[in-house]
Amino acid sequence: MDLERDEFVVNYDASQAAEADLIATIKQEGFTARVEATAQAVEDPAFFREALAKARSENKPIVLDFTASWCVPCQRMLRETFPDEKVARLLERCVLIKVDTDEHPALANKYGAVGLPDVRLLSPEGEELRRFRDFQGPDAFAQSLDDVLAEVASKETGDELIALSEGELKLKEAFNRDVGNVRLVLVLSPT
Amino acid sequence: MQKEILEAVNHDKLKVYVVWTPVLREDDRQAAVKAVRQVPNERATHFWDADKSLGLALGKVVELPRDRELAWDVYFAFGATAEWGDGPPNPAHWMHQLGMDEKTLSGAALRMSIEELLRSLD
Repeated sequence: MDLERDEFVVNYDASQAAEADLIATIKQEGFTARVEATAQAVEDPAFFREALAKARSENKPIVLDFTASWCVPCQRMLRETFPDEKVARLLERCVLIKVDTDEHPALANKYGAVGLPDVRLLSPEGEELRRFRDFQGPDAFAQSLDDVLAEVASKETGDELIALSEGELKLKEAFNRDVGNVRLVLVLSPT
Repeated sequence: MQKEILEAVNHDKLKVYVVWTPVLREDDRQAAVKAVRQVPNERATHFWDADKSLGLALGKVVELPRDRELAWDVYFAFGATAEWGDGPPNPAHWMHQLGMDEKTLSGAALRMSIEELLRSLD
């Protein structure tokens, strides 16, 4: 390949890199660079910005669901997963943002949602904690929500070592794993 | 409780599970996470009993005061051979803070019971 004769188009986020730095870096590699156009920054739609602000102010994790009417797994989650009683209860403690990628292609592109389904669980500050690229059933999705809620709550208390699990089965597993030891079970109310 | 048992009984053969079960309106998972700091013992494993299934299951293996079904503020000590089958096993000792009777929690008494169970391992 004759690099002298090839031309590359570099897209970059002006909020993340300075134009001069970018050109200098390219020149350091022995190439020439010029800026032909500066694309207008795509502003997130109001509903999206408001949801992010709400999550931050209420310290709630974000469930960011990129979806479309033609996405079969997305529609299945819409019918089976999101209405599930346990999932719905957990979602009340999150901020759910549904983004139809046909209605908001720029938003989907900005966040790299190039294939569906694409469901992300984010911290209240927007940090990605989980990402799912396939169908999530009610039980698995509820567990993930539960884990993320615990992570966010743990972060709030400043105690990273808290490990809360849910369900009788997990206590049973731990209890039987520790056969040969004396075991003390304390059942307490949080408040 | 923390001082009398978890700190006083420093034995690597004692495993501690804390089940946080919601009783009051404000008892949500976040409250449970904060409450974990009440039992900051590295031996303790914490469980959130969102649907009260653990509290109800454990409430069935003992006779709680006033015919209560949900175990909360209850302390169960199990011997080394106890195994959890279809439901929790019967505890070797248990105490509660649900009223005044012969099973009302005494940290010293519970500690002695646990120490007795630990001695039986030797």
